[in-house]
Amino acid sequence: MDALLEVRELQVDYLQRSGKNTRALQGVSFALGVGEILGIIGESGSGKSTLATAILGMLQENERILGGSILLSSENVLEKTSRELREMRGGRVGIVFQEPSLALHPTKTIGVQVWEVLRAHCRLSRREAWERVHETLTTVFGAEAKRISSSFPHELSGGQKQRAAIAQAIVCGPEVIVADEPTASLDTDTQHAIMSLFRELQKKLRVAIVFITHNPILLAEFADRILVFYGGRIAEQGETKEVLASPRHPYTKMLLQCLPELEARADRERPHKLPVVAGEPISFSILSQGCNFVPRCPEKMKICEQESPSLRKEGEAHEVSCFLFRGSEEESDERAQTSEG
Amino acid sequence: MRYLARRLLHAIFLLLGASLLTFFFTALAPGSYVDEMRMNPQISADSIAALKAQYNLDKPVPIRYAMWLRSVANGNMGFSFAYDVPVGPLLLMRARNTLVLTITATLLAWIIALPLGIWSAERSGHWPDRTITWITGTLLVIPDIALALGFLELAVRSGWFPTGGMVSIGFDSMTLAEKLKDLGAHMVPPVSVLVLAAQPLLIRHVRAAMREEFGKGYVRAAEAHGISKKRILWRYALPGAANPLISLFGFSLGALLSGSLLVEIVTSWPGLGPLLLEAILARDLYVVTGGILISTVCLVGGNFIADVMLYWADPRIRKKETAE
Amino acid sequence: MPKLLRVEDLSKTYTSRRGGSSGGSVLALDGVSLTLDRRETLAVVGASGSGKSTLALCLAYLEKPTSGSVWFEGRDLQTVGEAELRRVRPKIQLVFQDPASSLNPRLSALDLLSEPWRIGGAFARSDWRTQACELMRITGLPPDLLDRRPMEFSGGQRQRLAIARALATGPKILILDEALSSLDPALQAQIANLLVDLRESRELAMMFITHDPAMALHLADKIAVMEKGKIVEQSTPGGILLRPQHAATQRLLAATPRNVSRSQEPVVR
Repeated sequence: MDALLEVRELQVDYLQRSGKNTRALQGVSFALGVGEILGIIGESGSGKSTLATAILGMLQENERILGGSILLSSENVLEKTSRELREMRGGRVGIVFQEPSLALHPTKTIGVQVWEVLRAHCRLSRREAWERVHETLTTVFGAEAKRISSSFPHELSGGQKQRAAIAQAIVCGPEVIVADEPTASLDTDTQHAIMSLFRELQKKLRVAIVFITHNPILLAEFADRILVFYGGRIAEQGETKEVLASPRHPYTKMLLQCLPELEARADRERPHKLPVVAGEPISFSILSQGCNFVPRCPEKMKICEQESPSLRKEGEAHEVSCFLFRGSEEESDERAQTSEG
Repeated sequence: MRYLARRLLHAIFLLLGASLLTFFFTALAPGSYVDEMRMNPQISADSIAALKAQYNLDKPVPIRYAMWLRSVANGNMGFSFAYDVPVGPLLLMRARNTLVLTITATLLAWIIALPLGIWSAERSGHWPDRTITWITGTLLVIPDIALALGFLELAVRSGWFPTGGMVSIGFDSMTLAEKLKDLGAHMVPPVSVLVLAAQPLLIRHVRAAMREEFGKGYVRAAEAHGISKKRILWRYALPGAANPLISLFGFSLGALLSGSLLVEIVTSWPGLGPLLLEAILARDLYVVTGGILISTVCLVGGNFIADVMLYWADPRIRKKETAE
Repeated sequence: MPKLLRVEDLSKTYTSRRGGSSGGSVLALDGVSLTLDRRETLAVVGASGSGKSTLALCLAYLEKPTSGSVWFEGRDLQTVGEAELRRVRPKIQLVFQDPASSLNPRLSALDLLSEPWRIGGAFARSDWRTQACELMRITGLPPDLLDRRPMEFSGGQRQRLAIARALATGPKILILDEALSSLDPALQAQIANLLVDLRESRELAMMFITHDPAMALHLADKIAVMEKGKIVEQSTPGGILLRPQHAATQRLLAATPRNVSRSQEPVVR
């Protein structure tokens, strides 16, 4: 099956005034099929938001693409004219941002804001357009659609605002939705409701979703596949169940273990400490030789400091970018090297 | 509605307060209109005393204030010693002349500043922005008087437009077309000065308001949804910048009667400016108070109109009133 | 010995100055009662609007409760005078969700940390730097950041700084209002570990407000669930998890995504 969205060897730098550039994304490659849900896990500094804006062709002034391509139905986004980009955004690729209160205009009603997106892409008569708006709002809000349509953002709760933003993203019937941490600013109840909405939409509209988050648990029973980002590179990728149940990369392992488990507390007297690695992800201004997790990796080897690992297959639908997993033939070679070095 | 009613009440109190303060300060300042005459040995002390009584200058200040208020109510607003006419109609005529100038200047100033400010914000950091910023910086530093004198100099040297006044002699016998042309020519120097002097403030505010809008999340989100840049400018950014710009417009409206004072004096435009100046120097009490009062009315009125416009434009302000 | 903190029937009504037709008042807290003792961690969970933040503000006495009493070390804060309140405030400290807005961007870390000593005189000026270094060390911050401003810190470091600042007054109670919510999971874990350490080393009582039940259950000795200004259930983590009584609690637990990772060898011991 031809991939709907394919990213190949994407490389993006942040230009900084000091002259030293930071590598925001390095060698990022993945594919998204029609109707597939791809989860992207990344903490701050992982480059996940840069990826989202790159897919939309909306990089900021200080972000520069150094290489690679982003293919949407085999057309390279990076080579599109600004007119083509405008048609693509909202029309074929919808986006949902993290903070809905910032993404909605304060003095326009929700109905008008959804209508504006529709108007930018579809030639419909006024009546047809508003019918479509109403239809979309009903999909997202149910019975409250009419009331919400004539409400202003400040009259809505956080969850409702995010639903409105989602309505804007789907109104033109895009093939892909990119959601950049859409639930990060919501409380647990609302988060759950919005995740359910996403599931529903995917089933109903057969839309592919790129779901970016820093909380891996949200992706369980939601995403088909997961990509784990660290420091601008893909550390691990594979089917969700597989990656969550048996993570290979030391970073993924740490990430999953450091989340407090609900059940763990049931029979413990005092809280225990979470197994997390010290330190924070730092930006890499030098194109570092070596793996970018080296400063914090508890399982690092000599080779990790010298060379940067690439994604290798490790199991049926699982790839890891770590020297601990080199595929069997090369493993013995590596062992020989590290013992010598 | 309650919000607006409250603002209106506020405005009325402000006006009363302003008139009170002005009246008392002017009346309590040493000297009065008749003092000039005392210098003249030909006028007897009795005549002066009689004049004083006639003008009620011998009564205590609070009583005079009350009498003055009554006079305001029936439109006379007191009596001008110097011109020997009721103040009201005098002020009205002069105010009309001023308004001809200021309304034209304000409209022109905004029509020029808005696009320039928007353009400056869009091309922030690049040459259009830098040039405009440099020009407005220079304009800001040059005093209004210098600009006015500059234009007068230009008028004298080139003869392109008259060097002062509002109309030429023989105005009444001109045809309508000629009248308009004459008036227009006379307006060029003062209006130009007013427009130029207003640009720095306006352009900078417009630029700042628009820059802030361009950085807002919903502008970026609109771009991400594929809405055209033009539509974003008109439908998203400008309405968002409306709040600070409406307030600024309120100030512009408020300054319609008071902002051109200096320029009128320099270009001999027969508006409120020269009138007030003379009246202050001559201690023409009621003219001064009346002039300040109508300027204040204009100022307060301008702000009130801005309040109304804000109320209409921003649903969040409307919301504060209605129950949750 | 009386409990460190005892709250009885606390209520707080916010009235808005402009009345709408309903009078515009909001009942944020409705008869809340709880206790907190040394080395105890109480987690308060609930959806937004349930009154959790108002509770934090009232306990730190940054907002005056409308009715009810707050007993700190056996004294009712509603009845003590200004002088006594000033003495009590340093002992109850609040850490907010967004460190960027609660830390003065113009002050260096040293200035921020020494501010309470400047006012209260706990340490002599010559001691400030050493004491500040110690606070940085305890909260896991590199001491060479002492002269930098908060904006030069990373997000996680800022939150640690906010905690260090709260500790500078030598408090007995630390209230954290959604202090971890805006952080990445790895950072949340690091700071959670820090809190566990602090609790032991400083005998702190902690009140941890969050909408994330998983972290609440992880850190707390007891949990209070709030809804619409009332505490609807209060129990131990085990109790909440295994026998949730109130509908709000059950809803909250149902909404929390479960960690399906059953990873084998822990990466860090």
